[in-house]
Amino acid sequence: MRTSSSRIVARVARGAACALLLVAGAARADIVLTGSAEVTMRTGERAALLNTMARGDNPFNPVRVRLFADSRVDTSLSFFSEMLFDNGAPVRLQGAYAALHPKFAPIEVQAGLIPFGVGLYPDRCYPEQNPLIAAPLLYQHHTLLRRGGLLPGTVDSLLALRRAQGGQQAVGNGAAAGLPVVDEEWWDTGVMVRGGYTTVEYSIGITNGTVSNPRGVENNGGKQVLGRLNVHLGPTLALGTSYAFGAYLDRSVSSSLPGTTSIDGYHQYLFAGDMEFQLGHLEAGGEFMHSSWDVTTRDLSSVAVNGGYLQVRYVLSPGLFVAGRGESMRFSHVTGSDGVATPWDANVDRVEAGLGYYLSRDALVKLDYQGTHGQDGTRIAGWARMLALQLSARF
Amino acid sequence: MHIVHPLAPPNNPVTMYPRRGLEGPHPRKAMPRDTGPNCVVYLEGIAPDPAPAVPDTVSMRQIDEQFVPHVLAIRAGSVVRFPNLDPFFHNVFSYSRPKRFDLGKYPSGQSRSVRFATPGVIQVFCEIHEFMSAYIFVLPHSYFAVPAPDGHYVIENVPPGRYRLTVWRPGGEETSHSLSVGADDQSVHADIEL
Repeated sequence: MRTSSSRIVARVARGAACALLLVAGAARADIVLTGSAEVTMRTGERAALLNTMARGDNPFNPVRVRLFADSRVDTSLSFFSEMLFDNGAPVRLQGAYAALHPKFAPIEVQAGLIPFGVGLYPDRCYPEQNPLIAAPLLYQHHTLLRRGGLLPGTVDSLLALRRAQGGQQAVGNGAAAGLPVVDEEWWDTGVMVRGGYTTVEYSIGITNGTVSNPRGVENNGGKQVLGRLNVHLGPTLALGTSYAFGAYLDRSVSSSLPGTTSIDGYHQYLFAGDMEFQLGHLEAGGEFMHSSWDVTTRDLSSVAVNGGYLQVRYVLSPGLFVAGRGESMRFSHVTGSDGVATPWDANVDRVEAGLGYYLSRDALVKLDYQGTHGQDGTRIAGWARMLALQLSARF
Repeated sequence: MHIVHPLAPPNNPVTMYPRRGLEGPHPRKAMPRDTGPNCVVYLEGIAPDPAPAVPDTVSMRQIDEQFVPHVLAIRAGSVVRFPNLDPFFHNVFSYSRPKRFDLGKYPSGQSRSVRFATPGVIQVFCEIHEFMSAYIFVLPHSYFAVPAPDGHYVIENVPPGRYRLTVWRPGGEETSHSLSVGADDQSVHADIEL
């Protein structure tokens, strides 16, 4: 029954987007083509590798180009699509959705391949909005959880996997690819309602996959419910909270599940809180996330991670700014047969700092330092450092 | 000199920049609220003014997430105030070559000022609201006007001589006509079709 209903939701979302695109075409709406490009030089191969996104692209890769196609049919209907070219990954359609602004309410309904809209970072992820180059660990770092597989059956074998691969996983669409906490670069099919009233903004939606394992297509019969609430406490301070809940395992592992359990019984739960402060030439913000995943490992019901970051940006003179971010991820402990409690994945910390200068409103140069530290006894033990120079431009 | 021309309000949409998720519940702003001709009419071939003892002060307001006026013309040395009349923060800045400035984020009811000493075109933005933009055209003299919504404009106290009457519009588009002002002329009418 759930499988049937989820397929219906997916079909409705895709159908709505296609139908609305046809309407736009029929109405001969003007399509606005824009884009952005990034050219990056860097040192530190190992450190750069730790910034690889889920599908193989990387904000530190030499060349990245985004193309956007926008169309507004009228005041109540518009379309958005985005393509990403990155020399480390196949060209892909990042997102494509229709946005409806009904006249009767101050809301926006998005349907199609949509962004998740949880957390603080996603609306600031484009190069001209992100004062640094990297994405925060919470949106990028790959855990031992598998895109199309299960964690090992025992805690001892999980810890052995941690020693061998903890902190640095395969990427891509394969079964062995590691899952981040929130995969911001991988949009999902679904429907989202966004709205606001006075000092409160909200969003609530339903998608096919979860924030850590979006697939774009229905893959397990379950649906994710997610939402965000953002409250402005005066002009300088805003607080936000996000929540997501959904089945995250892929149907391909059904035959490997223990007992009578089914894939729609294994969920990811995400809770996030964020804060943003701005006054004069100072911006500061931060996020905290707690995520847990139901797992099949014997003697474990779930594994979890707590993570967060603080970020500051200060404008030194017109067009020149300095920025820094400090972040951390801490994994819940599991106890092996030796009785020692150990994080189930490699704890990781990162510092990033840089200078930015706007050559014009649409051209930005960033000089960026990043250091990532992995916990001892894992594949990413010690510091990995890098220096990067990036030119980004909009067109 | 009194010049009349029937400029229609230009079709001047501001291209939005796509975001990950749209800007919220409100449809994107596209057109400046003051739907006048949004251009500057000025004379070329006339000597620069001496610097005024007291700088002119004019305002470019931020209201309803727009800069008003959308096009402002001033004499070099003038001061422009940027009062924030919206109930939230704005951050006025420009990276234009004649004048780079960044006023930082400031709340409703407050104002910041900038003095513009160098002639040229300065494009002004808000860092928080990407769709907000405006133009400040700084001229070396005071022989200019920003036409009213119906196209009327007046340039006063023009000394006799031969000039080029130029209309500048956002985006750098310019149209020029020769103009002669005699010593006995009380006014000269010049209609310009764009």
